[in-house]
Amino acid sequence: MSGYLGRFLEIDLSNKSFAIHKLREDWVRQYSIMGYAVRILYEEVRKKGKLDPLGEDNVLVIATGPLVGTHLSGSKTAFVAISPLTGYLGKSMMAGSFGTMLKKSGFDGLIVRGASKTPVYVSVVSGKAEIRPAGHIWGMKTSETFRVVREEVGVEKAKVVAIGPAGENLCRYACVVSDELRIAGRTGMGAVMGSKRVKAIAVYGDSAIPVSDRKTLAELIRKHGEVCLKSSRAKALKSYGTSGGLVTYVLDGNVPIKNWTRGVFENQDPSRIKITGQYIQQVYKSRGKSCGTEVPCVIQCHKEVYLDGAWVKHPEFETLALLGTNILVNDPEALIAFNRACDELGLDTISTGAVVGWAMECYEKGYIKKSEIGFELEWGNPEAVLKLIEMIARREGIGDVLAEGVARACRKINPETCDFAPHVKGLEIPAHHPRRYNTVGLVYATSNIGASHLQGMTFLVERAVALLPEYGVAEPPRSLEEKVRAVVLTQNLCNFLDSVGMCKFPVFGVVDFDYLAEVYSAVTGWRVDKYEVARIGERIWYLERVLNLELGLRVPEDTLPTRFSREPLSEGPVKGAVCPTEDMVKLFYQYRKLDPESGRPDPAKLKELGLDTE
Amino acid sequence: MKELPMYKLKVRIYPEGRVLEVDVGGPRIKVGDLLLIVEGEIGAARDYYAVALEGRLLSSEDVVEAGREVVLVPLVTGGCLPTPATSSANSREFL
Repeated sequence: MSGYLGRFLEIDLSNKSFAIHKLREDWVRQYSIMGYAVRILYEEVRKKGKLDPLGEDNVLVIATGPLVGTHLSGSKTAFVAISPLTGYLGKSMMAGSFGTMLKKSGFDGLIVRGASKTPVYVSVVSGKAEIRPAGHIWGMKTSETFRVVREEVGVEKAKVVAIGPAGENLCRYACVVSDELRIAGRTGMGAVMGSKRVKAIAVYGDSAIPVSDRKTLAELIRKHGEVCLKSSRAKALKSYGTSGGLVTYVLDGNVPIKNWTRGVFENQDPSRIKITGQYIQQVYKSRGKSCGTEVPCVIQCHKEVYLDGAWVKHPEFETLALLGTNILVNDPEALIAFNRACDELGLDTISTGAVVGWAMECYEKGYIKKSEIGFELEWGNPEAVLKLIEMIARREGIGDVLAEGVARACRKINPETCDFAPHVKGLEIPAHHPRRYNTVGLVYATSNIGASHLQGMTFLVERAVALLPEYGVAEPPRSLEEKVRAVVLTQNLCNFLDSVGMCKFPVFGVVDFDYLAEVYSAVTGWRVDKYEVARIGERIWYLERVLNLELGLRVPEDTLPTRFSREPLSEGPVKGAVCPTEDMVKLFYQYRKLDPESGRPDPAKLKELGLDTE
Repeated sequence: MKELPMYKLKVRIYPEGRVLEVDVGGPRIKVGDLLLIVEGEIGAARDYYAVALEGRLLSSEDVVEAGREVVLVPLVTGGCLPTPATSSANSREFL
């Protein structure tokens, strides 16, 4: 196989042993690598039944993809396991060099089984795999962990991922952080690592990555670079990263404000908003960089700012929205501090922002008292937010409740607060607004991992930034039917991109999927066209769906909080708008051929996709 | 002979804050056409910016009265919906 190395490294932490998992070619062709990881989980669940996400039977698969390490712009590595937040499929994509280095060390991925009795870290360096003691770094923040681990493995160029105290304390939305500060943020993969007592994973190698047709690939990469440099979308991302979009999104009504209850931020006056990428880069020295030293991405949407004598990470759009507009904080240094705290402690900024916003509404309404927190938790109080982030990561005081995520925390605080808990299937809702872009609402409601904007980037299709004429979507969808079809299509395409290890930013609105098909064909030597590309993604979607059904998924969970479908805002760009969730989900079920009672796919559909799950 | 009135619109460019006074040639103008004029003035591609009025993004089909002040904001990851006439706003560079 080209593009693929043909093997995963299996790590059994309970027995402290290693094994080689040779990839099945039929599964690789059907699903590529992230999809392969889902298939591994599915087989585990079929064998053992429901898995406790924080128990030793949960399996963490870290999966690269055939396009990783091939010098294409953008690279993503999947972290896949049963999610401690949802109890269903957990999946999170990490940018940067870790995946490339993992492939250079000789593996398409890692399968982490069992649990260690004591803290450890895993080293796959220069052809040698080891499980090393980590008692001396347990409790450390991530930046210090990277330094110590790299020193101990003795290779400066080794790439390291780690969990912080949040993962160690099994905070359900703990993330995994890389030494390039790229994050596997969503669905609590950091807690899964913490439950296995794996503090970090270090990888290094210099093996060549096999490519079928290097000459064609080189030409495709060269053309992609030219297109990226000319594309307005790519240029804008290069200038400001996603943070540059905040001002537009505020004016577009596409951000959460005060836990989704307000439609106006800072009087909708761009000159008053101090947490936009444009403002931050005017006030502070800034620079762009590729998301990883091994990833030659021409877009370089990753930004840093110079603050207090050091270069620090510039928060991205989702962080600026969930920890900014959502909680009425309009202070750039506060946002930088929140982001840094979350990265050091290992917390997903999206879930953290959603939890804090919900907690602030609880406080406002009297469901949480000052005596229970220890300080005031009014809207827009950055000091309180910083304290709360620390308490959540360490599970101290009310942080112990909030670390459970909004879906569980609301039941503990008062079931009435569940009415305004912003989650789908337990995963907190990101910043794109379902009242503004109904397709986004449908993506959240039907995504197999819970509310995720990256499981179908339809907000780009709805605003005509990234149409898909190669699949017949030449205009922004207007009717309900067109919107549902756009969601189904982008869900499939996003799955394909995740599975081959490609970032979505150099793709949507920049190139088309005929190009992607050419790239995949050149790398693997397997001729595919854009229809097979969509089919691979579609197959993965159904595999994820049947996995979730095995884990107990019920039809009523394919929905949004009623706030979005029944509580229109009284002000702002989306005044009066709601998301017609029920109608859209009904139509979605018809398109996806899901039984309206059980949520199960039509067996004929599964057979058509060759989903041999029996 | 009676002189024709000059129909102007103020365009504040974000984040620079620079204000252009643009002659829109009539009492009102479609946003899509305004973007064409602005492109000529500042050289940035028409599909790089969106137009906002009174705290709200406008679509290409919306109409702005002369004498108003609008804000030009960069699209980055999204923006107004272009009409079929401004198809370059959603043009694709095919390889």
